[in-house]
Amino acid sequence: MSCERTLPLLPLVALDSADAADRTAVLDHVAGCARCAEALRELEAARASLASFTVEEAPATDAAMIRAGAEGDAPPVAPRLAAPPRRFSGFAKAAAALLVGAAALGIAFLHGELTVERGGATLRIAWRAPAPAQDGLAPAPDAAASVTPEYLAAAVDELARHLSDLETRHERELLLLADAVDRQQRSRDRGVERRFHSLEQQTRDGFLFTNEVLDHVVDRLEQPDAPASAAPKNH
Amino acid sequence: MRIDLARSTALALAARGGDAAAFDELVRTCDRVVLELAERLLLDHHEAEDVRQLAWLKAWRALPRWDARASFPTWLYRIVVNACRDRGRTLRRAPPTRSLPFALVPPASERAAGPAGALEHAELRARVVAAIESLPADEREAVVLRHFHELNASEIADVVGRPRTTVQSCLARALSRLSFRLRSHAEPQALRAPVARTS
Repeated sequence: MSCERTLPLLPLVALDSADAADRTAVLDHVAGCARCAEALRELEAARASLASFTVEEAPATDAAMIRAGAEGDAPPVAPRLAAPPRRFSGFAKAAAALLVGAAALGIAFLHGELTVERGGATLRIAWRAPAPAQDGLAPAPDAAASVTPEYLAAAVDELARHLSDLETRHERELLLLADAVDRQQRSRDRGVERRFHSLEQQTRDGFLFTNEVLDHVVDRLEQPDAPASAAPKNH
Repeated sequence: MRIDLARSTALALAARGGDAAAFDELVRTCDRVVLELAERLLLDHHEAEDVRQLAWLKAWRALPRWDARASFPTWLYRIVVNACRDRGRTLRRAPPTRSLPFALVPPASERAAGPAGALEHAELRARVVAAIESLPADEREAVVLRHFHELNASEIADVVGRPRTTVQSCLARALSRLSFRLRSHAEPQALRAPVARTS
C-alpha cells in the first residue's frame, strides 16, 4: 500500500474504526514507513488527549419528576366544561338563521350545501333530495320530496351540535395549551434559578482556585531554589 | 462509557410495560451517559443538564413506541443527539450565554491534584474543547460517539441517521482536524515560564 492510500486511512486506524483488511494493510505499511508512522502517532496522541475532556458531576435526574412532568400537573385531558362559553354562539345563530331563512323563503332546494368558515374551522353541510329523516339525518337517496321543515329543524340541531362540539374541543385545547405554557414557564424559571446558583458556585470556585494558584506562585517566588517538581501547597 | 445493552433493554421493556420503578432505574443507569453525551455535543454544562432532562422526558413519552427489536441504547442516543441538535439550533439564534469565563476552572475532582496539576489539566481540556468546538456538527457527533461512547461506525450511523461510509468519512476528517488544531495551538506558557526576578 502506498503512502497516498495509507494517509487517509490513518485516522480510522487511530480510532479503531477501519475495516479489518484496511487496518492490516495500513499497519503493514506503517511498519516500514517513518512518515506514516509519525502521522499515526500524532493522530493517536490527538485521540488520547480527548480523554482530558472530562464532564463535571451534576445532580442526578429525578426520574419521578420526569414522569410527573410528562403527565403534567393537571390531568392528561382537561375536564369537559359543563357549560362552555358560547364563543361561536353568534356564528351558530347566523348559520341557523340562514337555513331557516332559506326555508321560509320557499326555496325548493333539491340539492345544496352550506359552507361556513371561521378562523381555521370549516363547517360544511350538504343535503340532497331529502326525505323525512328516518335514522338521524341520512336522507333516502331516491327521495324526491322537497325539504321538510322537520328535516330542516333536524339539520339545524345537527349544526348546533357540531358547533357545540367544536367549542368544547376548542376550550379543551386552550386549557391544555395554557397548561403546557405554564409548565414550560415554570421549567424555565427553575432552570434560571439553577443556573444562578451554579454561577455563584462557579464564581466562588473560580476565586478559590485563583487564590490557590497565586499562593503557589508566591511560594515559588519566595523559595526560588526549590526544585521545579516540588509539590504545590494543596489547600 | 457504553450503556449496558442487556440491562438497559430489560429495564426499558419493563418500563414500556408501565413499570415506573424500572424507568427510574433506567434513568439511574443511563443518566450519566446522557449528560456526558449532551455536554460533549453542546460544550456547555448547563445546556447539557437541560437537554438531559428534556431527553428523558422525550424518552418516557416515546417509550411505548420503542420497537424492542431495535437497540435501546441506540434509540436513547438518537433522542439525545436530536435534542442536542434542536438545542444547538436554538442557541445559534440566541445570544451566547455560555459560561466561558469559567472554562478554565477544572472540576473539583481535578483540583485535588493541586493547583499546578489542575491548571495543566484545565489548559489541555480547554484546548480540546476548543478543537472539538471547531468541528462541524456531523463530525463532532461522530467522534464523540466513537471515542467517548465507544460506538462503532454502524452504531453511529444508526444514531445519526447517515450511511456508515459517511460516518467513516466524518470520523477520519474529525480526527485529522482535531490533530491539526491541537498541534497548531501553542501550549500556554504563562505559568511555566521562569519568573523574572527583580531583586
